Formats: sequence, structure tokens, C-alpha cells
Amino acid sequence: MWPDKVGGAMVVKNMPGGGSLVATNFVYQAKPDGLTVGTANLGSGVISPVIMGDAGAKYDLKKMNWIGAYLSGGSLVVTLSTAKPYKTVKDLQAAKGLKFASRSPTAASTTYAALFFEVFGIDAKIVTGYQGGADMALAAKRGEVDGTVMPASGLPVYIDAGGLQKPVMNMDFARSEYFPDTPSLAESAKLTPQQESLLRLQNATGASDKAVFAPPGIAEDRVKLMRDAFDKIIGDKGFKTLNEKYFPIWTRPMSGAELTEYIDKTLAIPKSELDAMSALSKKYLAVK
Amino acid sequence: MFEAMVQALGNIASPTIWVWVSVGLIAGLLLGILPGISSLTGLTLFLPFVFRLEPMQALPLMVSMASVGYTAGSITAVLLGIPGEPANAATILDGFPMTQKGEGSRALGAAITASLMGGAVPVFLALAMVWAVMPIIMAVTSMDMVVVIAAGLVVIGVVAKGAMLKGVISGGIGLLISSIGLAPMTGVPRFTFDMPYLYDGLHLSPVAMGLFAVPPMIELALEGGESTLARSGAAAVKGMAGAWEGARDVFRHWWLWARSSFIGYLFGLMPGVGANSAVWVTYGIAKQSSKHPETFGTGNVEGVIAPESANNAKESGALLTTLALGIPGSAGGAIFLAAFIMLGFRPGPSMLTEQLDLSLTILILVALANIIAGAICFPVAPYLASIARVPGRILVPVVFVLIFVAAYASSGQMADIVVLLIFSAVGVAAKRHGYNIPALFLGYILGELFEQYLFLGLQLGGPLFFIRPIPLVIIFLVALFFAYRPLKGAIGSRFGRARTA
Repeated sequence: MWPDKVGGAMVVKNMPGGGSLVATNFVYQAKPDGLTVGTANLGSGVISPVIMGDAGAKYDLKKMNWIGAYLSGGSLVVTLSTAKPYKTVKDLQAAKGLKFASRSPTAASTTYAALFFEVFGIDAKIVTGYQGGADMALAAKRGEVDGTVMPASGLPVYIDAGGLQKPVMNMDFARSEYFPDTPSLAESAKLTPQQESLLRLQNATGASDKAVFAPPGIAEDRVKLMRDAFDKIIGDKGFKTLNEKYFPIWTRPMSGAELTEYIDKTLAIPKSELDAMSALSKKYLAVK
Repeated sequence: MFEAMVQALGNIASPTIWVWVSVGLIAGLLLGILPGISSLTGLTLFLPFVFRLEPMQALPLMVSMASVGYTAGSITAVLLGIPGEPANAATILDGFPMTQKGEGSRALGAAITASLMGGAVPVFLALAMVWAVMPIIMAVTSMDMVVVIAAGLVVIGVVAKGAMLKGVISGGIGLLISSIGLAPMTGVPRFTFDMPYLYDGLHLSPVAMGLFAVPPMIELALEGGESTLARSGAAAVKGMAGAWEGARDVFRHWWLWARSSFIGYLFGLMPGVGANSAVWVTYGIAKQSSKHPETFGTGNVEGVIAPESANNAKESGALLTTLALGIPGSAGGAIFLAAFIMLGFRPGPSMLTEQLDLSLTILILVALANIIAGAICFPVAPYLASIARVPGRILVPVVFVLIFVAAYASSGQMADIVVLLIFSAVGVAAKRHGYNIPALFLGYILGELFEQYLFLGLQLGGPLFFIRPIPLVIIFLVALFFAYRPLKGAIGSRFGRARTA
């Protein structure tokens, strides 16, 4: 829809690699003429590498021109294997030596799982190295692991496939619109101030929101043109229909100015909180 | 089951389906024959259009496009030594030397026939075994997968026969190369030098092109501008008779074909293993069990039949896993999964019960697409094989352009060209000093999988994770596989002596 709103053609180039790092670096270093825009996962792809100090992130979030974003309404949920006898949080608290599947030690599913274990005093370890949601669901179905943490939006497919149960916990302050019967973490337990800030931090860095951005140094009128085009697209009726039908997880559009403010707030998170998050994940890893 | 089959056959009988099948076949063949641009690229490009189509339009097109990519990919592998798709790499080892000897049409005849039958027959096996699929997939855990992949790595020992030390060193270097990128378990960057390009490891296409396609072209260029045929001193390129001879070769080696197809199908069923491993495992077994293992790598038609049966057979297995579990067995499977969801289907066990007619329609389409692709490719094989007559001074520059475009096309980054150049140098040096390129490539493609499953196995089951029924059976089979020939020899000579005495 970009060419319809701005005029001219748009060439789309898929740039895989480094979980969006290759594409984000490319856009940041592109000529600042307003002819290059990028889109990537905001939390895990663009923000997280910077605040985690990844040397591969060769861009400055404060200098990037933010055009807009689409935030996902879905949070991450704790879900259990159908091959195991556990059905509730109480069952998990009574069990010993549980195993939960995750992608890597820094993945959102690891941090959320660690926070879940910590809050409810569950004796479990996180097994990392799975390739993604499908791989983790298969491991659960085979009974290789007892559960996992994954986006609420992606879970229904695996529930239908018979590997995972309806979630026992929504890892957020409020309930998920996908599973309104599942309690949220905040309503199920009294969180300590540190646990609360960890949940807030994880929500900011781990969510799979999509952002649109352009290189620094572009003339202001061109940035305005791009931001206006983005706003027009997300306001378009045809776009809304397509989006609701095929990508129902993108529910909250954000303007360029709002996104810039959101980035600034996230960058202001103190390092001590980041270190606490990383220490908590480490505590529950099967291999440290 | 019977009702579902009648419904499926009714779906296939609709003439409009055949229009979409034809479009998919032509697109799949063209994309497969262009090195570096695989049928996977085609599927990805097609995905956005799925929105606008009905299920019985989109699925026939996608299924036929995906089914024939490997058939077309074998053509460039045999004729030019360039893998059309990475899973055609093993075909080069014997297919390309056959072309150089003037037996290109025979090699193509064998490759196309093995692909056709390897793609079509396992579909019927899949249909007959729908009930057994779930228990098989469920029985094999990550702890068992370590031993499955390790069995694949053992093939390094088979392809390295003759110069074992250099072969094992080559395999080891391949394993090291596979460790470039973020560690699968810890996410720690290894040998990445802060370059995000390297975070996901080296891309398959430029590595395969550099190792397999460039060295023979450089050799051809260095030896003057003659054609490969003139160099080899072969009398002439065999025509249609050669292609038929290749087809007969497949029937002559029917057991090799059946075994390789079955292994390919099983590899397809296992999510995450993929065609790239299947072709090498079947090649290794073919070499180990051949009466003439010493001729492998110099143009033995068995070395063409085994991988080409496996890569096509793998597709029906992978598709079944995608349908039954909603878990893609391959990258192509992942695209299918996305398409199924877009079309309103929910892949899962219900695809084998309530929606069995749709699953059967898809599987029958796979079989038909393979048969038609074979029927299209077979008659043109002898003409294509005449490429052996083209003088090197024309062939080399044209092929070099193709190689560079193919390496770049895989992800569209200049760094791919750098990787291509580095691995071309590695390939040339390895060839010159007698190191084993297939062993290196095998280490590279299996290394990451092995590491991933090894760490999962250790986390899940501790150091003795392999003391389980499936791993122990596989270890026993591998031991038997290696001991078979020496044992047979020993027993034979003993009985021989006894009889003489």
C-alpha cells in the first residue's frame, strides 16, 4: 500500500540474518534520502540487541528515524504438555525436576519461564536449543519436556495439533484476549517490586511488535511524509480488513512520535534491572 | 478411508486443478534448474498470492512446484556440476564425471527416473502408512535424534575411504565451519567477528557452489579451451539410447532405489533433519554396499540413483509430518504450513481423520506432479547432455556467471560472494592436495544439527542419554553396516578353505 499513499514504486528486499540485525544495520547505514525504510521485530530484533550490549548491533536507537509500529496484543503464556499429568500451577508446585523448553538463554520464553518458576517456587529447569514454537510443541507432545512459554497468538495451532494444553498463566499484568479464562501473572500472585519491574522490562524487550524505521539524517519534511504515509496506511479500511483476517495479533498501531517516546523510555531502564533479569534466567537454565 | 479416497480422486479429476498443476510444474522446473534459486524461493514468492486463491487452486500449484524442484535441480548437477538445489550436491559426485565421460544422457536418464519413481512411489507408501506416521514421529525424541545424526556423520568415514586420514581431517574442518554463528544452545557468537552476516552461520548456497561447482570449472579453464568430452577422450555423447540405459540402470539397481527412497521418506518424516542429510546418508550406504565402491566418485550410476531417489522421496514424508502435526519437516514444509493456515486449514491430527480427503488429494498430487515432471524432463535429457560438446572457453565463463548469480541470489548479500570466493579457494586447494570435499561438506551440513541435538540430549537425559532402545538399535545397525563386508569376507574365506580342504 506504500506506493498508493506515497506514489512511485517500492522494491521489497528480504534480508535474513542475525534475527533482524543484518537488516537493521543495513537500513541504519543507508543513504539518508528517504528512499530506504526497514521493518523488523521491535523488541527482540531491534531493541534487545542494543540493551543487551550485542556487538553486532551497529546502530544508535536514539538517532534512527522511527516511522511507526504495530504492537501485538498477544502476550506470552505458560502452557503444559498433554503427555504429562500436570494441569494446574498447583500440580507444578507439587512436582520435582520439571523441564521446560526454550530457544536460547536470552529468549523471551526463557526469561518468562524463569520469572514464572521464581514467583510460584516451582522446581524446574529450562532446556534450551529448540528451534522455535513448532519444535517446542513437538517436544511437549512427545513428553520430552513438561511445558513451555510461547506467544498466546501462536498457541491455538498447537492445542489443535494435540501437543499442548490451554495455558495455565498469562505472563502479563492483564489477561490475554486469546485466552480470557487464563489468569494473568499479576492477578495470581503478589509480585515483589523487582518481579514487577522484570515483567515490565520483559514486556518491552521480548514482544514481537513490528516497527518501521529509516536511517538517521533524513530531511525533516521527508520523515514527515513517511510518517504520514504510515498513518494513512494503518487507517486504511482495506488494510484493516486484511490485517484483521490474516495478522490478528497486530492490534495496536503506534505513530512515529509515540514510537520514539517508547524507545526513549525503554532505553532509560537501568542496567541493574537488566542484570537482574539475566541472573534470574541463568538460575533456571539446565546448563549454565 | 475409502470415502476419503473417492473424494480425493474426485478432486483430482477436476480439470481446473490441472491448469494450476501445470503452472506449478513449469515454475518448479524453471526455478529448480536455475542454480541458487530453488523451488523454495518460488514457494516463498508465491505465498502472498495464496490469499487470493481457493484451496484447490493454491494447493495444486504449490504442491507441484515443490515436488519437482529436485528433479530439475539434478539436471545442472549432472551436466555442469552445479547443484540446482543444495540437496542435489551428492548427485554431482558421480553425475558430473559421467557427463565428462560422454555419459551425461545416461546419468540424466537415471537421475530423472530415480527422481520420478522416488517421488511417486513413496506417496503410495505414505498413503498405506498414514496410521503409522504418528507413532513413528512420536517415538523418536531429541535424545534419539543425536544418534540418527551421528549415524549420518559416520558416512564421512565411507566417503573418505582410500585416504582415511585426509577424509577425517576434511570432515573435522567441515564440523568446525558448521560452528560459525550463534551457538544453538547458548546463543554465544562463535567466529562471527561482530558481523551479523555470520550470526546464522555460513549460507548453504555459496558454500556448496564454491566447493563443488568452481573447482572443476577452474580445472577446465586451466587445461585449455577444449570441451569436457574432448578432454575425457570419450567417443561421443550418447543420445536417447543413453537416457533409456540410465532408466534401465534404476530398474537394474531396484533394491538400491527402494532402499534410498525409503530412507529419504523416513528422513522426511523427522522434523528438522531434511533432504540435505538424507542424500548423503543414502550415498554413503550406496557406496558401502556397492560391489564396486572404488568407482564411486568417478562416474558410477549408483551414486546418482541413491541421492536422487532420496531427495524426491523425502518430500512426501515431510509433507505428511507438516499435515499431521502442524510441524514442518523442512523449510518448504514451513511455507506449506503458512499456506494451509492462510487457506483456513488447521494442520494437526484431524488432517488424517476429518480432513483425510484433503491430505490424500495433496499426496496424490505429489505423485502425479513427479510423474509428469519426469515425463517432461526425460525426452529432453539427451539434448541437454550435448553440453559436454561445448568448448571450455565458452562453457566456463557462462557457468561462472551462473555460479556467481546463484550464490548471490540465495540471500542477496555481497558477503555471499566473498564466502563463494573463499570456498572456491578451499575447494581448489582440497582437490589439489587430495582432501575430501564431500566429507568437508557433510561435516558442515550435519555439524549444526548434531550439536543442537547433542546439547538437547545432554540436558534432557544426562551423559548416558543414548542408553535407550532406539539409539541402541541404530548403533547396532551402524556397527553391522561396517562389519558386514569384513564378516562376509571372513566367513566366505573360511568356508572356501574348508571346501578346498
